[in-house]
Amino acid sequence: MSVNAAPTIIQLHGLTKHFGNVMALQDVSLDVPLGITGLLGPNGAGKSTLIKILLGLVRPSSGSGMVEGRDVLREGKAIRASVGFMPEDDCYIPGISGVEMVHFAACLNGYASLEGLRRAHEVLDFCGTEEERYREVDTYSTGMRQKLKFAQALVHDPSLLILDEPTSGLDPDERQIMLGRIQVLSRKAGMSVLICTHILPDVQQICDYAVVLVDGQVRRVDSIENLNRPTSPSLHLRIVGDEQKYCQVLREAGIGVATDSSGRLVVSDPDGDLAGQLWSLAHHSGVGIRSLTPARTSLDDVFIQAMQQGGAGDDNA
Amino acid sequence: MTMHDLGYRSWDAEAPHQRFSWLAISRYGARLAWKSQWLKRIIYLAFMPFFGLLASVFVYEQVSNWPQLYPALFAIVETLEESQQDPIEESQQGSIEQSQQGPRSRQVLVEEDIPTVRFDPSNIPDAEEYVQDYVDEHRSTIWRIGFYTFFRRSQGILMVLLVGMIAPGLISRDMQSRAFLLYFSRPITPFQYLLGKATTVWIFLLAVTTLPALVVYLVGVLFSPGLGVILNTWDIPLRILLATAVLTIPTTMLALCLSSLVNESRYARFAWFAIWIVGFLSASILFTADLQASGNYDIWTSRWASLSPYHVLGIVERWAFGLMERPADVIPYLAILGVVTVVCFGTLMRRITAPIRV
Repeated sequence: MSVNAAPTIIQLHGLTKHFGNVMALQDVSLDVPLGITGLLGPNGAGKSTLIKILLGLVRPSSGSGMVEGRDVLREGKAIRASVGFMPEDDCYIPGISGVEMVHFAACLNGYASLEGLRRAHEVLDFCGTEEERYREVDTYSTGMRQKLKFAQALVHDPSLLILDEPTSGLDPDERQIMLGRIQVLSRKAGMSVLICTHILPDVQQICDYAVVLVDGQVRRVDSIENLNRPTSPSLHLRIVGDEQKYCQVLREAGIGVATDSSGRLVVSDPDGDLAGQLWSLAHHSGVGIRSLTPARTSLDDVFIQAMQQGGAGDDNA
Repeated sequence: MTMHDLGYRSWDAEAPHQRFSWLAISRYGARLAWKSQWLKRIIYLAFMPFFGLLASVFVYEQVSNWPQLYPALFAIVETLEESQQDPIEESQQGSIEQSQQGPRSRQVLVEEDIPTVRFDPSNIPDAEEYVQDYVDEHRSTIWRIGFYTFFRRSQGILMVLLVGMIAPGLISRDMQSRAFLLYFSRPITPFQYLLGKATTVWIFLLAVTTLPALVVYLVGVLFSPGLGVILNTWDIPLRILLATAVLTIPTTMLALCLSSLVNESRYARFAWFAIWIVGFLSASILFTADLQASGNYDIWTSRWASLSPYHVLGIVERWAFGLMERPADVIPYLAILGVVTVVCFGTLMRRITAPIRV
């Protein structure tokens, strides 16, 4: 599955992975373009397995894959040298300070100690970690550990960043700041980012593309813009007055109407010239129109639809 | 936002040390371990035997200048060489036969008929030259006995303490804090991770065993009458390296293996000390039982020695320093150390890769 003809950073072909009888990934074919991509999926969908395969840590049962033009089967070490990974787990090395941990990560990538230390301070500055960088990581709060994990993923200036739940445990302010940093990395530093998250508004806010993985299969892959586009043109409507009466009038006039999860009326508009008719019918029904906007499908709806899709139809991209 | 925040900046630095990046694991491991005050005390304590050995080698090499020490020299050399004889041979032979058919070093003393107690340098015209010849003749054996005692007695026991303090936390802490992905998302293989952790232990062990031993060897050569001594003792540095490998590799593998089996380092530490203490006590009790039953026993060939890691290491180190009468006797003990190392290595690799396999 591919989004478009844009240059890609990850290419997977028929990737399958099973652990005994458990099928973790099933014939995953995917081209991830440059930019920020959200990897969505319920628990147990195979996201972590996919990430480990991308990092060359787990060998797929069959299929092949390339990350930045390197084979995941044979060039795992080279991939890991140029990819930054922020794990979801609250993992840290006890007994060392924040700056030491980031410095340690740089040294593990083979950088000279002094150069690594300079770079560690630089990325900690970028991540908004101030004097607390000199405290032992054991004493850090969840939010501070998130920032530290983010910094260690960035320390070697990777060209691809894989972030597993980057905003989990952050307060709303910090969450916005973190999303801003990710956008800066992509837009200004030209880094590609793969975000694995359950927080759909984060994906909606910063991602260019989204991949929905369910039961080890890719169910949807598309740009966020396309995913938000409804399957048929329609309008979102909020009114003041007797809603039931107005709906009845619309139906009598042959206009399809439904209510979405947030209580808005969704009016089908196959021809695209419905607005005038809605205003006219509202006037005759004695109700006021508070808002009338082109309908957009939320990522929540896309996600739920993908979940319900089952194994039947796959590609809606 | 910090005053110096310049936003994100790309970094085009070279990574010249990628092949040796696992050394960062050792460096940080050693730095963390060095925070322990108890470890510092043990390290300082571990240098005491070094000074003792250094002084002994110095005195041995300079003894020809001090006539008042001549009698003591002969007595000590004889005692040391006798202490390294194979006890079972002694038990099988009578005391008269022993003096005639004993080991080479013993034979030398008998043949030269050196009166160890009644030795009077004034009776010999060239006493200094005579003593120097005696020192030269026995140098290799005496040095090997000295280094063996250093490795076996003092540093062997201190090694148990040192490894017991450092190794149990090295892997269990990473398991507890789930730090594996921080390591393995880097260009580090599980083997390199293990090498880095093992090197952390080896840094301390080499600092208190190999390094002091090599320094003592060098000092001994420098204080000896001439550099020709090197021809006589060229094998000793190699024996020191062999003894180091015997002392460090199996023990480190065992300690790291215990560390990888639990999330709490205290359990690994308990198991480590339990293995040494229980093994030593069991073997000692069974040696005593054998002694009471048959009237003699041979610690170097007794089957009970294999129960005690301390005894097994001692036997193999004795072989490493060339002090074993029958070198073939070491084979079962070498096999024990080999099996322990291989099994522990296999277990370690399985445990280390487990979190990333699933």
